[in-house]
Amino acid sequence: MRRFFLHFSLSILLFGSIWYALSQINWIGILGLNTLTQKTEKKLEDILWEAIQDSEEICSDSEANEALQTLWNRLCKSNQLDPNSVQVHLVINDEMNAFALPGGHILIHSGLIQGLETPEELAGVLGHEVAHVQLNHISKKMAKEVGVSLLLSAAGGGSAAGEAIKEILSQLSSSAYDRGLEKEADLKSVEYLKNAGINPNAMIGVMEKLETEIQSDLPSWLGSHPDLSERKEYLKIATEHIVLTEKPVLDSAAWEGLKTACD
Amino acid sequence: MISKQPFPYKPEEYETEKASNAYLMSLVVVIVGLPFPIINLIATWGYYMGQRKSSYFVRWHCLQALLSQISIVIINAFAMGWTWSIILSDRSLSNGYLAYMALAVFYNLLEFVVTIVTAIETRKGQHLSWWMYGPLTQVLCKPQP
Repeated sequence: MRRFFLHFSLSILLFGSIWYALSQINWIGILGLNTLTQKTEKKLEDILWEAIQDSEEICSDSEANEALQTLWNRLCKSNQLDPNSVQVHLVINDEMNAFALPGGHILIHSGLIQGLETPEELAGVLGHEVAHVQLNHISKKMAKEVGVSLLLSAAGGGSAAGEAIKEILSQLSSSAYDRGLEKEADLKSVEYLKNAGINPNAMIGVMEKLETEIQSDLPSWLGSHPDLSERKEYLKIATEHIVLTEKPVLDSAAWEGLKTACD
Repeated sequence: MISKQPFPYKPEEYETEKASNAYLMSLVVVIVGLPFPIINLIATWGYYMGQRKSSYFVRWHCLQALLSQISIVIINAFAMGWTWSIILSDRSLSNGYLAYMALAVFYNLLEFVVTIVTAIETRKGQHLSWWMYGPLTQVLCKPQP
């Protein structure tokens, strides 16, 4: 039995050592897997963005877009975010919705802006979507919920690509991320707002408005969001001790202009 | 990894055939067993149970063939679990995973070759003892059933 234990220990040691040594090799780089993934992702980003441009009406009102850009710049500056990492677009759509696409495109529906009361609330929504982009939640969600095979068929073109693109867009725009990712994005948004001198309490206001929308049984996508009261609770805890000197996000004229733009 | 050892007696022709089949059993099911590593273990366990009343030589080799499946089952099960976790969850492809898969493939090939060699030599009446599993079989398998 002693011989067995000796052999057993040596085997474990040998296996572990070889594994450790092999792990030090940059297999991903050597096999070019990183480049392949990045190439596929880039292609997918372009295809999805083209599909959105074909199916949605993007608001070209310069003042409205300038107001959105002001919000984004404010978050960027105080959080050391790359201004080119995200492009914010205003979509003419009555549905209260906002979502992020691969490639850093954030789409905000005009219906959502009309449903919000203050620019701080909009900053909270923007911060939340920016967090999804920055924390790489979109590719995680696509791989998990859409499936690798569908992503590859969308990127690969051919007859199946059209259906695959529709399915991906529907997943990205109409359903929530899982609870863990939503919470991570909410808390990251609190941090962004705090650093930008915007009261993160505004996010609680957004949750309340979403709850009201669910109660009035309006858009279906809201119903699929994880427990809004739970989100409100952890947002209250995360924001209760934050003391900051607030600086206005947008002046009232810019905010009203944004709310009524592309009506 | 394998060494020729003396055996207390010279096995008969029918014994070497049965003992050799124990190793072949783990090879026959390898195709079915690849996605479900546990199948190899069940098959060799079934063969071992069928030979419980056989001679010492047959039982010894059946047990060694069965025990030798344990490490490969664990290694392959872990490889499968890791792969599924990459496909289904947030885990990403890593150098550690690729290193593990390379090592698992190498270990599977090595075990495949060693199993064939052992099956052939056992058929010729040689008594081959495997690294780690030979000493364990020696402890667990007694001359009287």
